Amino acid sequence: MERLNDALLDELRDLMEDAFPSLLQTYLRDSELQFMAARDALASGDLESLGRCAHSLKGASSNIGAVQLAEYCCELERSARQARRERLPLALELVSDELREVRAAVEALYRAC
Amino acid sequence: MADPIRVLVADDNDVDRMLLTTIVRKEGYEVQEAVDGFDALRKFVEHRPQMVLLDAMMPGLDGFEVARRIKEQAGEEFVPIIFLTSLTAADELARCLDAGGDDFLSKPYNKVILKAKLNALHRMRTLHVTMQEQRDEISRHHAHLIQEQEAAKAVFDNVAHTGGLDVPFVRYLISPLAIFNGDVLVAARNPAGDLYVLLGDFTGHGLTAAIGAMPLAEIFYGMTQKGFTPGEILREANRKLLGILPKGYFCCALMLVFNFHKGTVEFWNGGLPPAVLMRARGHDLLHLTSSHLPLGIVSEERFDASTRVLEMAAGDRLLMCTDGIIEARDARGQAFGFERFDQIIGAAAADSPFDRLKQAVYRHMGASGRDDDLTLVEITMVTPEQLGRDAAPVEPERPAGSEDWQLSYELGPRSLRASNPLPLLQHIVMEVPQLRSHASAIYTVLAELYSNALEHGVMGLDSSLKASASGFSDYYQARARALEALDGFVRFEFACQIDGSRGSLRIRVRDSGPGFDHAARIRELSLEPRGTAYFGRGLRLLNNLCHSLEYRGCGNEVEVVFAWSDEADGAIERRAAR
Repeated sequence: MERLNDALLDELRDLMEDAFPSLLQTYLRDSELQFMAARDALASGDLESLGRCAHSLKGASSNIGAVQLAEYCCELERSARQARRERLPLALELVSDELREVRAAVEALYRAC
Repeated sequence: MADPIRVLVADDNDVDRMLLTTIVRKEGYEVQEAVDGFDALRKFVEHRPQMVLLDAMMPGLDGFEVARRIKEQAGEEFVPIIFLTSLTAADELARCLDAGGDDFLSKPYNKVILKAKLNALHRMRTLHVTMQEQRDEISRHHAHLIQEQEAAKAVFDNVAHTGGLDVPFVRYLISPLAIFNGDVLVAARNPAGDLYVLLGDFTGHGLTAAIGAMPLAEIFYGMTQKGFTPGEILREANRKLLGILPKGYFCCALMLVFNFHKGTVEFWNGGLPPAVLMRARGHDLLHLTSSHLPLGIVSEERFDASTRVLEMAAGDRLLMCTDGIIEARDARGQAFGFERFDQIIGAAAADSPFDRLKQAVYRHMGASGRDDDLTLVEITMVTPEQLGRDAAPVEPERPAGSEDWQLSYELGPRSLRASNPLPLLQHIVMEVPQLRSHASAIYTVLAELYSNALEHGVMGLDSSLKASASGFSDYYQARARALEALDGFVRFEFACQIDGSRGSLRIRVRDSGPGFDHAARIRELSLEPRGTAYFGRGLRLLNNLCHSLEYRGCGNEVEVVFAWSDEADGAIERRAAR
């Protein structure tokens, strides 16, 4: 599965015009915050917070075309809500790895603007 | 250009909110942003947006709760809410609708779909606003209409009131189909105290019917109070309605005159169901059937105002209704019918069938609703004693009037056949202010003197005919025949003398007849126990009402003196008050 959907990104660029870099920057900041909050939530066993963070990251990621990341977030959210604790460390690791790649790609895009 | 439409975008996720805001703004809407549930409510109150995009999952106050509170705040105003959600489970989506959501939008956001949804909801909102405006306008118009109708009804009720019916021996039901009644029921006393009742059923309902009822009621009240006969009133009503009602409109009517002194009912029925006379003794029902065309159809020359007179003893009941009762339909469309009406009355023995009739009609109709006005009246004959003395209208001031005068008034054969002199004579006598409080007695005296002179004097009818119940109607038939062939005269002579607080009115009536053995008659009367015969009641009445009564010559001339004094009147009033 592709990291970032090019067609969707083109649409976003059209839509946002001058605000496109700002949108990318917002995503970079927001996704970092959500991920750290998710990691803290897992450490303290707060599954409700974990689910909400995963949900939020899922929405933003799907909106910027990070399809694979949105999938992993969805899996993490589901596991948190179903309290399947044994799956949570792996699910978070999948999100963490994919997020690192997505952020690198978004940063590259941002620099290219 | 119109003000842009305000849209509230509430999403805690910065990226998502930024995207939505951009899309919505680019569509020409004015956007307010909210970062969580509480913020959304605050912004809603502050900016009163016309549409709301609401994230379902927000920290603090979630989207469901925000939607509920926004709908509460909006009241009657329609504020469309689009839920932003990646929820896909059916029950979650149902929750959104339950909370007041009008549509969904899922992530990733699609510009084209969002645009279409905003437009669709905006159209719905406009439609809703228009509908509310039209509804408000209709209800304003309706309120205005009701107000006008109520004002008109107040006028109508003042004219066509049923005040004369509020006595214990009359029971009635009037149920209007619309605010106005197609039926009219009016009652009044003539100067002699006879009760005149007119029941009418106009074609149509509501305004059309009410417009005809007003002049009818006016004629009825005006002429009854002046002492006109039922025939004269009907003739005038027919003439008036013929002139004012549009083609195809008319009024079925039943006119009744109850004479409590003589124990008679005089009637004229033009197109209404038969009135039913039930005797206090005996089971035979008598039907007062329609034998005329309704009012407002035939020309003056062809109008037949002839009435019939029936004996009615105290306790006898008369029941009448309009078509609405007879034609009341049940759920299957079956009419109540006259037979059923008749049967219930027949089964009532001597009791009042009024309640049973009313219940039977309502039961028959059930929930099927009404399609005509329902009017039902029951009048029970009472004796003059039961009736009680009617309080004569008080005339506190005594303006100067005629004090000493004489009048001679002679009616020839044509006048005797065609006219009624009583209203005119009553009017002249009422010019004497001191006599106004005696209006009822004076009218009774005049009416008795006139009918004796005409019927027994000029026409030579034998009142002993009235002794049997069947003879009663024979008598009135003979009277009608004799009136056709009549020749002769009746002369009234009045002499009025007033001296300070005392006064007297002498009335002398002479007819062209052969007279009668008055001395023997008066002896006879003084021997008979009271009230056993119909004939002679008139003479007794005269004797009671007047100061003196004297027959002259061969008996074709009678003189009565009606005398009064203020002191005596005062004493009587004081006694009556105790």
